Amino acid sequence: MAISDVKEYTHLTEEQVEELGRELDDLRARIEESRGTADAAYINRMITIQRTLAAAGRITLFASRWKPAFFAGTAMLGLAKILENMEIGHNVMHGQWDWMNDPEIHSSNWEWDTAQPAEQWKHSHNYIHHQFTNVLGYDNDIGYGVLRMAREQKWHPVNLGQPVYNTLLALLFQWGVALHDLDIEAIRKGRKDPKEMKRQLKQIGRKVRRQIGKDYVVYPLLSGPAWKSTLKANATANLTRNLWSYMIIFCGHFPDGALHFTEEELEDETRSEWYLRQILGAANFTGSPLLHILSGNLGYQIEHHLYPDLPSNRYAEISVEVRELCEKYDIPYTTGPLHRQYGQTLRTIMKLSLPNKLSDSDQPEPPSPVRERRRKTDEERPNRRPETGAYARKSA
Amino acid sequence: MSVTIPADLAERPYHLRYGVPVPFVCESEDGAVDLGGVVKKRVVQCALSRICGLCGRSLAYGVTFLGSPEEAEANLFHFPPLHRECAEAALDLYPRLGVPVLGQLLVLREWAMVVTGGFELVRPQDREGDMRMAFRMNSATEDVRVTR
Repeated sequence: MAISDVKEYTHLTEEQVEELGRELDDLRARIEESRGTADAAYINRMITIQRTLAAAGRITLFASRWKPAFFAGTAMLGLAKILENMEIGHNVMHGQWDWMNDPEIHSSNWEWDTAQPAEQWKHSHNYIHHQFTNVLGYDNDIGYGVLRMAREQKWHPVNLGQPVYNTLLALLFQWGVALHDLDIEAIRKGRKDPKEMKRQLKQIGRKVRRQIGKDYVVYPLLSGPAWKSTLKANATANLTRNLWSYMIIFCGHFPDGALHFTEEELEDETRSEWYLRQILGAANFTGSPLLHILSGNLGYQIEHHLYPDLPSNRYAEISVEVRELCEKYDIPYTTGPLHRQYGQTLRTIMKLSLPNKLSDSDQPEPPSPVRERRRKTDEERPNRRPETGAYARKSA
Repeated sequence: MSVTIPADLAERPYHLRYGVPVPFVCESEDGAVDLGGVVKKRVVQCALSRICGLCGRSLAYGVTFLGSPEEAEANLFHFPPLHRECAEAALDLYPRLGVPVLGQLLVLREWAMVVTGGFELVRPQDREGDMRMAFRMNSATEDVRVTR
């Protein structure tokens, strides 16, 4: 559906949409004003914990021929990788901590512990996914080019294999993400600039060599006689991180209630409409503070999509107000326990492996009756002022 | 006048009339160029992908903004973030053309160059106001005025 036709908010008047936008702006301004030393201490503490876990894990694995050391070292390394990718790397690259003016914890300098080069992530995720959230044909996060995740996507017999593709995607998530920004579909359709593709492949090659060299050559060699068990432990830590990050990311947009859009009107989108699209296209999950840290605070996916560059440690407090606003304006706020959100995602993957006529939709009904409302077409709007792109005010 | 152009900016296509590199953000997908305007889609791309509005490559620490002194005072720039080296080269390359450049509506004599750690993308409020994207600095470390 087009963003203007989303029935989940067609009960709101244009004034109400603008008022909601102003309230979300105020919330943002308050967080920006209160951002300070406590937040800086939080991210520094996270980085210290992560580096301590990684070092302790690597050192413990030197004795990995001894089973308890193998399990303890693998667990610490796996946790360190999860923390680095989810709570630190992902959020630093969004620019959440740029305000600290720390050259190390900065979106332009951070390179994370996974196969995809940071530069490509910042394009495929920060720009494509966050700007075109859940817009079919634009947002490559919808099924990662492998899975059919929306009923609006055309069914093909190849979709019958979805349960298998999904398992492979989860197991090999790091490598799937590494190829994400190449945009395989654009390559297949001959739309990709060969020069740019070559540049990206070189970048990926360098990063893959570094990742493989670190986990499967250097540290096993440093372990001496324990090289084989260290290699096994490193592979297990990477696999654990793959499965965890796959599950968290898929729970962000595919549980029941998170909407997909088939058309983009982004040129004309106002801040309030952008906010609404983010709320309606994302889904949260509930859990303990530790669960939220390990998931990079992406259990607050709605808040993350509203404010991708505000510090992740503030999403919990932001979520209280966002939820109240959703209740006030009668807009769906999709949330639930992690197991339920993932269960719904998995069910969608299975269902959509079949043609639409063989399955029914699980999307809940919108909370308020739909009012006749749609955004104006370009013909119905007044002329634009060429210098700023604004519409000229109607004369009295 | 000899201008040192950073390698990535020098690799950009050159403007046929003015002989200067076409800023990444001034070129639309179909190749159309407007040195005074900015392509909204690319402005958003620069903001979210953290890339330079001139050369189109990943930003480095010391994010720099160029604009009018009024924009600096209002803390609201309309041209996307830049590498410091690209910004410095831009001040030598574009203002001397005598036409509106770098997202400005008028020809400027005085420019503001602000270096910051971070910034926020400000999306348009409503359709009757200014529909341009804008940038608000949150940790400026340097603010200079340059006359060209």
